[in-house]
Amino acid sequence: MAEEIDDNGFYREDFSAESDWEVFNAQLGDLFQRWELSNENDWGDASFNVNNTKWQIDEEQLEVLGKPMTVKYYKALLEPGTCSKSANVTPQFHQDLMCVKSTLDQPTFLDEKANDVHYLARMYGLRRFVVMHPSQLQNHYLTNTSKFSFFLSSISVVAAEVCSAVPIFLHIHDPKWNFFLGIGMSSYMRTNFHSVALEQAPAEYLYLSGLVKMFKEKLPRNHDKPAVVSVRITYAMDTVKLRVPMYVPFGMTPVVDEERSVIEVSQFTALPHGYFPGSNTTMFATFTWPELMDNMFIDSPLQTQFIPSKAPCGKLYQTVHANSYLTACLKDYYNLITAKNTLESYVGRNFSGATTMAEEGNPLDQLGGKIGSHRPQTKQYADNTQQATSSGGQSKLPGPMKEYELNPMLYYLLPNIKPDLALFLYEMLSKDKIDPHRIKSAESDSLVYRLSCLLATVHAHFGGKSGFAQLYAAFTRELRQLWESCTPIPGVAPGLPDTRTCLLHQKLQMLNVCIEKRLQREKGIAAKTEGGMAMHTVELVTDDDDDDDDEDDDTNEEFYDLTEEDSDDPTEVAKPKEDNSKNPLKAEGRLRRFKNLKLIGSDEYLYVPVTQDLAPKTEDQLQDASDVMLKMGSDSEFITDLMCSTVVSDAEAFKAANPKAGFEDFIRWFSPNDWEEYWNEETQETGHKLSARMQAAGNTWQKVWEQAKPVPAARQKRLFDDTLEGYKILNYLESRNLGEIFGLTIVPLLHSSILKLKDIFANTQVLELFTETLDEILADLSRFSRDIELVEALPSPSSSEAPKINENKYTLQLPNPQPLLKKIEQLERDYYHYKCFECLPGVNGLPKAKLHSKFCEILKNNGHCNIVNAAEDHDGGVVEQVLQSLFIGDMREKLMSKDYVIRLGEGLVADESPKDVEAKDQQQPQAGFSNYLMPQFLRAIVTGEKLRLCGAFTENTTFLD
Amino acid sequence: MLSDKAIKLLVIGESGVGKSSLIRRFVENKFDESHDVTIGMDFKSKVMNIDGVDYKLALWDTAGAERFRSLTPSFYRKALGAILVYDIKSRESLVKLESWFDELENYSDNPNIATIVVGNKIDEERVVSREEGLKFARKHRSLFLETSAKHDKFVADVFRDIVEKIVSSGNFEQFNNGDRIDVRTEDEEAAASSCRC
Repeated sequence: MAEEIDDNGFYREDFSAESDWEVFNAQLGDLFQRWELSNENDWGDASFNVNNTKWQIDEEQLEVLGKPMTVKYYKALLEPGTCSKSANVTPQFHQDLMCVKSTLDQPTFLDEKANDVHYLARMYGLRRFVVMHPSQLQNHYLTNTSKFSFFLSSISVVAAEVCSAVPIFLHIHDPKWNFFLGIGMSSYMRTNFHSVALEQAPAEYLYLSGLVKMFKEKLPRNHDKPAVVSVRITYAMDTVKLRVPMYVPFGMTPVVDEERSVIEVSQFTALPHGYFPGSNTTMFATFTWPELMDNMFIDSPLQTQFIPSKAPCGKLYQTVHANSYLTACLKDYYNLITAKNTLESYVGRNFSGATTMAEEGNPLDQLGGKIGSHRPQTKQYADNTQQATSSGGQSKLPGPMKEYELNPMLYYLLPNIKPDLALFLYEMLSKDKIDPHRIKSAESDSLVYRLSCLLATVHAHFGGKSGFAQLYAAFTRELRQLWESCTPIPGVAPGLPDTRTCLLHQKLQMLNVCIEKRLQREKGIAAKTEGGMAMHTVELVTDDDDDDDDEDDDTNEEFYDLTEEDSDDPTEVAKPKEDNSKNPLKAEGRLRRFKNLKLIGSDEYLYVPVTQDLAPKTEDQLQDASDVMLKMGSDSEFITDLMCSTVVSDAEAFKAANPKAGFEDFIRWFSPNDWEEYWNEETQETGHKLSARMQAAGNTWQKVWEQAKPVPAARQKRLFDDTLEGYKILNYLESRNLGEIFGLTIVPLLHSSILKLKDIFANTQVLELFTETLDEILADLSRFSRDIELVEALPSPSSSEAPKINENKYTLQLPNPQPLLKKIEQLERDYYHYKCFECLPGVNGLPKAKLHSKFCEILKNNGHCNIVNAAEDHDGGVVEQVLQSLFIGDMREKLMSKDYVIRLGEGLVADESPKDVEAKDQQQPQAGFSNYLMPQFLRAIVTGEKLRLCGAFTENTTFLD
Repeated sequence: MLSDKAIKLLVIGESGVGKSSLIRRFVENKFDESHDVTIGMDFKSKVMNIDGVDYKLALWDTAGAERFRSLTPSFYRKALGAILVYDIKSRESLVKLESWFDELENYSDNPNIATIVVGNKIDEERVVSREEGLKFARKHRSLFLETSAKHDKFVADVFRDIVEKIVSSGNFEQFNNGDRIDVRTEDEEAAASSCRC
């Protein structure tokens, strides 16, 4: 109508006279075209389950009369359909209306599900529909009839125009009321969707007889066939509540031991447990009569045949509302992930108790000197423990926790600071225990675990971030104390930093390595001093080859540490030799003879020198080293220098131990494969020579050998400066911000939470129910832990203030832990659910295996299980019988609602014998307009005296009835 | 993005079996009998194109010498594949690969790490038969090849084989995207394709 042909034959386009209605129609038509509402294919499988279908929702805003209108297209995502043949004959929504499964399967009482599945889908079983409503639904809902007809008329015009195969609805009145008007168009039929609600309905309409009567009156023309009725009766059962009081380690322990049956732990974990007081399981039972003829059953105000014991199908629905303190604690902790707050902002500067740089001079100057020349002032441990525990010795760290709260936690973490008060000692940790799931964390109940759990608990229950900061700061302060007193950190796996564990654990391992090295060194010094020797002289092994063999074991290890595999008896202190000054070419730093080999061209034995350990590295340091290599390229001198330091050190030690040795001897020990056998033609015997690569002029090894001076390892510059490394670690730990501490502790925390749950499940004999889930979560955690990346941190502005010992440049980048938290939460909820299930009368006495399989069914089915149907199939069906017996008595009190669905149309098979169906199928292709039974649908929901009706009545638009 | 397609490979094995030579041949196409002995660790990179996709190989050459043994496990981190080299002139070097496999098992953070057993120096008189090498590779569900770095025989195939294996296994995707794969089926495949050439 906007296009007119003017006199000159041109098309003129003039929209100035368009009405609002037309403008809106045009927009709507446009939108529907885009959504391809006319498409009748690919609607998915014939039967779709409203319960567990995912929905795709397209949303668009249109403007009408100056107000925004929202149009939403709901589309169930289904597997490609298998029965497209019949879909061509009738619109899909007709089939949906006629389908018992899709209209009656979804219980209406599960309120929280309403968010997932649209009301319309539940009422009419529709898989696709469009809903239109004013955008600001809360305030501007449609209330007057003229508005309704404005939109409805435009819907019907546009739907017919675009040949929409999808019913279109208008949301009217208060959104809470769920009132919809709608139209579904097809070639010659029009289905009108309507809703009615009555607060107090006439009694006859609360029962099937009255409703059927009403239904028949509404039919557009006389149908001789009886209507098909589906009935579902819902009973609300008593809510099951299990009280599981809160337990908080180091804080709240429930006085009454009520929770015994639910939570029983066999191992102490510093994590809270218990469920919030409001936790419960609500239960509903539904009994269904899927398809009946309208005249087969009696249901009137006077008498009803719809009683549970006669129902062909029954289901028990359970909804759990359970929040656990453990999950709450983890979720709370998760909030720290982005926290940038520094420890200093909570506990003040210098909380660590470390002397400042200014006071001490630059510690870097003192470090890295020759072994033995620098001797850290070691306080006696006894003094130290006094200091640590007496409040006078150390200033109290500011924070919400009192000393009497904080101290037990510290003793829990580090039992050796107060051995007489320690309740929780560490078990011996093994070095090579590999976690079957390969989770990068640490051993269970090790220090890292305890710390992680305790930090989470403190964060949740002892004053949030400031409590968290207080505990962490106190912990690092104790670490520093242990370091200064040279006491190994307890609860850390022995050995070098293990990159299979989490970074925090590696750091602590490293700290222990440093402490051990220092201990050994100082022990050596102490022994030496006792022996009356001067400080820096190194003991010698005389060069007497005629000595007994055992003499060779007589080694001097004072100033070093042997490599792990070599140290047979590191505590052995060599006897001072008396004749050490006899030999002018004195050999120093021998470890043992090397396979009884003798030096080439000499009668002297070849001795393995005592060597320095290779520097152990933690993951971030490794990353640093490889980054440097990547950057510098492999041939750079820097790399060679870096790598050569060990060889230089070894060569020097070797020269010192074997003063008469040559390069060949060195290679024989250091790289035996380069000392090759060959057949000497001249002498007719096998000889040895250096390999080509070792003979090559100017190769690195030769150079190193030539430059090396005989210096025993003990007097060499330390390759691994344990003092510096130790301070680096302490500094690293102390300078983390809250978010970084979170990153360091999240994996052990989650790991121990899972182990704690496992413990609880095992103690209540339900472990097998959850084993699969637990394993799945552990596998997820394993991946999570290995996906943590070390990334180069941007220099933080605060770091420029004071020069710190080795600014750590890597920071942990975490994957999102939310999915894991969700799974743990669900697991805890399921556990509570199971416990409630067990509480049902009569259920507890049943065999566990049967109970478990029934519960598995509940879990699998999203919270519901059959209580009637299964009885015949299963052997005995004990559980079903018990559950059924819950509904034997008078159930009228618990009656919640009745759903009646009355319908008429194609595809209903209630009373047809298979023969009839066949006959009908054959007829169908020829079936003309008049033969098609148009779908008529009425759903009545009776809740007490309230009645809600949702109707969908189809009329023929060509031949009016 | 190139960096997204980075693949870290380790080359391990006893001292003097020709680990560095393999890498040198592959990366620079050079061979030098008297090339310097690797000290500690060495690193080379090369871009390899497979099915039209460029992969940046980071080749970590480890020192075989006993002294550096404690250093190597730390470099196993994030490695997607390992090339285990022995010398066909030395049975001992093959036997010792057993302990290198142990180490991989213990220290690799990637449970699905792809492995290839390589018998090097086929240009020289052999002591270890091909069958022995194959048997060993099958036992460890690994790929297998015999090469000569000196005469440039099958060297590139070593790297191509293992990279193809990594790329096709989905393991690569998993490491880069965090997707899940079934570990067991991977192993079966590895067993089936354990030999080639």
